[in-house]
Amino acid sequence: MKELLRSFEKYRDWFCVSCGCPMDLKKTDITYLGSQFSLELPVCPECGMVFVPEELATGKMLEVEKILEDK
Amino acid sequence: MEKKTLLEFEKKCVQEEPPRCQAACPLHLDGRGLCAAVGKGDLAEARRLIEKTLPLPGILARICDAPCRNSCLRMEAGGAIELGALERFCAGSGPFRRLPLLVPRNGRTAAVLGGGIASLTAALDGIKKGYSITLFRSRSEIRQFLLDLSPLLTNTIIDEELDWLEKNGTVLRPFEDGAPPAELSGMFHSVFVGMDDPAAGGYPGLQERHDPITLETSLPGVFAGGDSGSFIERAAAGRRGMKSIERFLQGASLTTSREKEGPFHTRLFTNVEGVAPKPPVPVSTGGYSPEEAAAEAGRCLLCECMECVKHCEFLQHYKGYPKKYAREIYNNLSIVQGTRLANRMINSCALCGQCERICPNGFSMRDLCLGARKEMLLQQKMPPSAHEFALEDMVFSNSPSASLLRPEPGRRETAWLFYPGCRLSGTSPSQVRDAYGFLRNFLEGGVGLWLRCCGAPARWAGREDLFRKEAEETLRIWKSMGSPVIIAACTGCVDVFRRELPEIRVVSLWEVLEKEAMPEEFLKMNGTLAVHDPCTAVDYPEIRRAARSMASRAGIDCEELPMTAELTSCCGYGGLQECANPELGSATASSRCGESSSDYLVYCAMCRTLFARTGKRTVHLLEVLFPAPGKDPLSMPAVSWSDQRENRAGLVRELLGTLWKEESPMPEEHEAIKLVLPEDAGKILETRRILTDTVKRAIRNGENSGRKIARPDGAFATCLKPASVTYWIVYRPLEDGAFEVLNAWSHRMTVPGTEGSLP
Repeated sequence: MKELLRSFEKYRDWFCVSCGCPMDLKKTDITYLGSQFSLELPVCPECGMVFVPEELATGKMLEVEKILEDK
Repeated sequence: MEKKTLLEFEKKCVQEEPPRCQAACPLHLDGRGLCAAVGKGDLAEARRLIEKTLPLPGILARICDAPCRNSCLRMEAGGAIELGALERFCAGSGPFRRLPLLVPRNGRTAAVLGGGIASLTAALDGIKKGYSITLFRSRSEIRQFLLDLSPLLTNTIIDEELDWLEKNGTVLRPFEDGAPPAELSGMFHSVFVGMDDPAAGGYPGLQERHDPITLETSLPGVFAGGDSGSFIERAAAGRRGMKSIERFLQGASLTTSREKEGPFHTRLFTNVEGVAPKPPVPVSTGGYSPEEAAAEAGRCLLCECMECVKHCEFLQHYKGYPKKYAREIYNNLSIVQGTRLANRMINSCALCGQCERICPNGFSMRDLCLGARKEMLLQQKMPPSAHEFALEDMVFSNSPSASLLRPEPGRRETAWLFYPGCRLSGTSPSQVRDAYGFLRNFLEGGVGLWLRCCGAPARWAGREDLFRKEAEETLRIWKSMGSPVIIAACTGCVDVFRRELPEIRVVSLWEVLEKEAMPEEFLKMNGTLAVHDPCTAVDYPEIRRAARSMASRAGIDCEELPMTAELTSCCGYGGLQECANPELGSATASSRCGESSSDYLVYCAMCRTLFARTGKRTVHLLEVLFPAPGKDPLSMPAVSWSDQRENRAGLVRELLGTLWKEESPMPEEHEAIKLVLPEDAGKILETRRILTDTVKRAIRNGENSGRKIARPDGAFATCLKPASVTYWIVYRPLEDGAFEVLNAWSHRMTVPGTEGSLP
């Protein structure tokens, strides 16, 4: 997981179109079915738009969603 | 689920019942397990099984007279398994483990009178219960007694058993040190007399009032048994006697729950159809060699039921059988805090009812799983992702974009209402249009059209609330049309109407066509196709017959699959299996498609979709009767989820314009967006269940709002959260104003700062 989050550094090259700023990595609280987690995700420093990378959404995030759905 | 309900379910599944040999054995030796172990060459395991069940294993395994032979299911197919010879082989193949007894003495004493097998067994069981046992026969007396029983016994074999008995606390004393049982009962807490020792059995008071269940005698506290010609029955008498002594000393009932102590009838069902006869391996004087033993053990049928499991991919997938699943589901529903491990299993059953029809006792996984789904919903423990896609699709099917109700163009009365079903309108819109045209041509009294979903997805999902709502709406609309006869093309809809809305008169399209007319331009298929009946047609033989009749009129030679008609297998869509567990749905379809090398003929749109997805050449009967010009339906791929939706909406627009000369509702803004969908991106959308409609909405949203992220290569990523799921689309604007879709994914977690969730 740590490795995955470190790999998000590459999204600093992506930028928010409406603000024209490159994405930054920032702690973001994500929630599902009453549980909350904190993750460092690519975020626009101006408008706060968050990007959820494919490798997270289809990997660890999906895994945790399934676990929470069975709780 | 009530405990009582669990027990009712459990009782129906016989898989855990013992095999016939074990039930018939007075000591219940697991002959099936023994044969399996010998067959594999695992003789240590075979000896462990013998030692676990047989007292005096070194002796009894050598001289067992195998009364189980008369019950062996192999009897009719070559001859009963020579289990006695196999036991003897095992006993000679290596040492028994002879684990030390770790039972403390409990102060109770019992005398055992006699030196035969019954007495030795009683003594052995007595020390295992913690009693101090005195057996009145000396070692030399016992040796002589046993040597006379069989030439297969030697002093070494007998001493091994006696050493163990003595080592574990049995005191052997000469017979003359004893006394008549009546006197011994005053000196010990209880007495067992082995009647297979004539000297012991001759005392007065033992023959009268001899109860065969408890082995009580007329002397209080004195039990006697073992006067049988069978060695194994003598041992069983010793065991039964010591059990009675235990109950007697505890002050418990001597009679209750002893039905299964001796031989009993097992409920285990084993299918012997197709079992080739094979005679037993002859037993030579020296007994079996390892090869002979393995060959004889290999003849064992390893009796088990598993009838339903053999034919169901779902039941096989979870590596169990209904009784085990019933317990797992019961436990799953009882969990207050913790992980509900059976959720996915409960949602993976196709609810097709095949198991119920195969099972000798009618065990229904459908009832079990559907009941569990309803209970999970009540407990608010249904995983939100399980059925959402199918339920949203149902809502779409019944939305103004995809549903339609009109009387026949130019007529006011509606005697008939063609109801193709939402699936067929999605997969075969042109066939629906043509079939409707054909019906209007020959049916009198006006044929209306009704495009709608019957509510089956809600019913399968256990969503009573949603289903009732849809059903009431269906009934209201049907009445508003003057209660016409519904002509349904989908057996799923027929099933829903007949079971849930019996007021509605519904006939199948195939029955109507069979009776009335054959389309002229049908596809001439001359050849053999294997007919797959949909699971929703199992209760409707008239529909199955009509579908076959239409197929043969089209020149098709119908091949019957091994599991056909009322025993048919589901394609993997039923019960929303494919929705809750896509991999299993696909495995179910593949397994069904592998049952014949012929191309398949189906008459359910979902069977067509699931089979074609596996690459199986499959044709829907409607594609034969109303073929699309210049197309070979057998090589047509499955229609994607997105295209199914667009087809349904497109059919409504087309028919409104051509038949009723009505304007279609104005398309929404996003619908005008043109997408370029490379093959790999199309596959991603299909497997991740992301509709092109969602892609268009997301791109429109991103383009209009400017809320998008630019990738260094110039592509954009944008997201949309129409309800509970957030979708991410990566796309590239093209010069002609279209958008090329590069990638898409989704998540259910709520992330502030994505579309619809402000930071």
